[in-house]
Amino acid sequence: MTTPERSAADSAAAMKPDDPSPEDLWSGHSRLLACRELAIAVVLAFCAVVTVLTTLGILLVLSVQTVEFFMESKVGILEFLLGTELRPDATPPKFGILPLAWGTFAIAFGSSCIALPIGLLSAIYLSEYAPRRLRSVLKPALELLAGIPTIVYGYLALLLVTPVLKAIFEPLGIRVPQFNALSACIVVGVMIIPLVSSLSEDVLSAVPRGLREAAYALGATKFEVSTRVVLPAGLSGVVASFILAISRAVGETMAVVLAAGMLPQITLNPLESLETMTTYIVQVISGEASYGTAKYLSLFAVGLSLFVITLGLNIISGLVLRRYREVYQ
Amino acid sequence: MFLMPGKLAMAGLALAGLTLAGCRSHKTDTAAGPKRSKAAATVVVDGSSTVYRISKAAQEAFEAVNPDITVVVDNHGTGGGFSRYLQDEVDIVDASRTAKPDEESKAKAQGIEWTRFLVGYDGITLVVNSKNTFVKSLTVEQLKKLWQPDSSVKTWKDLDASWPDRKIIFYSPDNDSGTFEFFTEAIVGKAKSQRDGVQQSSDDNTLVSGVANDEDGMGYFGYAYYAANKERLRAVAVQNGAEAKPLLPSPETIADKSYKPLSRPLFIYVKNSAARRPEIKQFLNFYLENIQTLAVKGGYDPPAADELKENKATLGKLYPGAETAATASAAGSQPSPASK
Repeated sequence: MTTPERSAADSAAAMKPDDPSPEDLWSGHSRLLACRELAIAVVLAFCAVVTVLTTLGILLVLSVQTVEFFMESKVGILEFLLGTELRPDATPPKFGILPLAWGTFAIAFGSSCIALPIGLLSAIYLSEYAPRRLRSVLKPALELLAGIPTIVYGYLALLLVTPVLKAIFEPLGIRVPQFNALSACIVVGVMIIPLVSSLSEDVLSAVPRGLREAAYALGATKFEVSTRVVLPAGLSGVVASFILAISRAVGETMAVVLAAGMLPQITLNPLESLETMTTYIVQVISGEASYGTAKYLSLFAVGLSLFVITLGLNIISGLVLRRYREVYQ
Repeated sequence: MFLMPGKLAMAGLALAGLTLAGCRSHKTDTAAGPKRSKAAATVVVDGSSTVYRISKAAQEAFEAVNPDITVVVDNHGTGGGFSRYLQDEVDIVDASRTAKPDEESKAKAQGIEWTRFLVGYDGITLVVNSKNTFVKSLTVEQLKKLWQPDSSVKTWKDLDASWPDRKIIFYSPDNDSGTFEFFTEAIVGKAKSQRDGVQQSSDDNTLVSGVANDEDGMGYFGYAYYAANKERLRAVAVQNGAEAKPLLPSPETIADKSYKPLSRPLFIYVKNSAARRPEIKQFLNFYLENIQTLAVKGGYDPPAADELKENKATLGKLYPGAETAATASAAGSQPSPASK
């Protein structure tokens, strides 16, 4: 077993932080206290490591099974990524995930169209315009949106949004299918508003007061201060919040499964049914797909693709934050 | 007190190790399956979402009488049920078709013996939205034209020149469903091959809600799901052959087998080794004893008298020695021949 060595190494790493040297504090007083302190450090370090190990473990499982998928199905990587036909049960089966990727990005794009402007504008209002009292009520209220279970958003889409869309479009002679992308976009958009507004608001209100006052001193209006001084100063954080919200929309499952339909197709019409990667995964998992078949393994290939997309987005958002952050003292 | 965190850490490490080993453990997991289910008095039923309604009715009635035995009923589709069954995770499969040769041979290879019971009759029902007034009946040829792969039919007009020029929205059970297999076999002529552009779901209620809310929706599923939603859906009569009369599915036309070609028997497959367990025996006896009420409660036609007799004979063969006329409660009190 390598466990003791590893945890010892971890604890050594964890002990490093430049506190006043522990020997001074504990010298000669109590071995028990010292032991306790060490144990705590070990536990804390371990918790940190578990997260990383879990991620690595998931990545490993996904990768191994994905490789197995490509060997089992004899589908080329390009054919998988760029194929426009998804028919896992046909003979020979077709595993083109482009329709799924299309569905996923269409939902992400549509919901961003709703969430990004609304989120950003409410963040600006909260940080620049809202009286302090109002803000202390409004911000938690907005964040409450994030606490609504996604399945609830899903059936709201079916029972509320879709009927409203029908009532709007059908008199104009436009058919609205029961399962359509637009209604999914709307609920996912609402769902991710708090991500944008809350994170952006934090960033904007962290912009130093001095900058604002300087701008006011030069005769700028409140709107000019907000859009030309505060927003550019906090831009990196705002962009990062955008990307996080998009990555959340990409990975969203339940609402989309319920509302967007199960029809893998590439279409520009938002009033059509779509199928996202997450919906495909749900569908395969709740069906037959016995262990080891290409269809079963395709789960992992699709899962890995999804993972790569969201991981990529998160990394980009991290880079944006670090790269373009304006540091004020 | 101070040992606690250490223990926690060990447990945590083990957990992480499990995560890493996750990809391997799948196969070994299934080997442990039967032991797990034997420990608790649990009956696991899975399979067709059509037969699900009968088994669910059986479960509810049975648990009211035998609260100690847990019956789990799931609906992963007939194919899904069989594949879980072959992995030893399920005791009874709900099947809306007979076992396929490859399922038979896989079972044989694993030494799993099963017994089949007929539990009712269903007529796969073609439905349209209740606002759709023009589609009254369809011939089998029209249906084939509609549902076959590479079908050129996109709008109602493509099917009949007098119908409106609006896009049809198709709904069907997913590829693991026995209903899907039976329908494609009966209509298209080749099992599991169907046109593109169909919204497929393993949940019949999703299909119901799709057709019920889309004016140009069309779909098919087991009769019971239509019967339960009659005010939101309209069934389409099926005309089998040029001179035949178009017939709607109904308890009568399904019972006299005139609703063709979409009438079909429904089955349950019981694993023989599992059937020796007392709780399964009790459940099975109860199920078959009350099948007439249960089938009707599920929304289907019960088996005919001679099929009931046949079920009884099969049950007798499965439990040699036990009185074939044993009632559910008597069967429960009898010592089960647990050791083979």
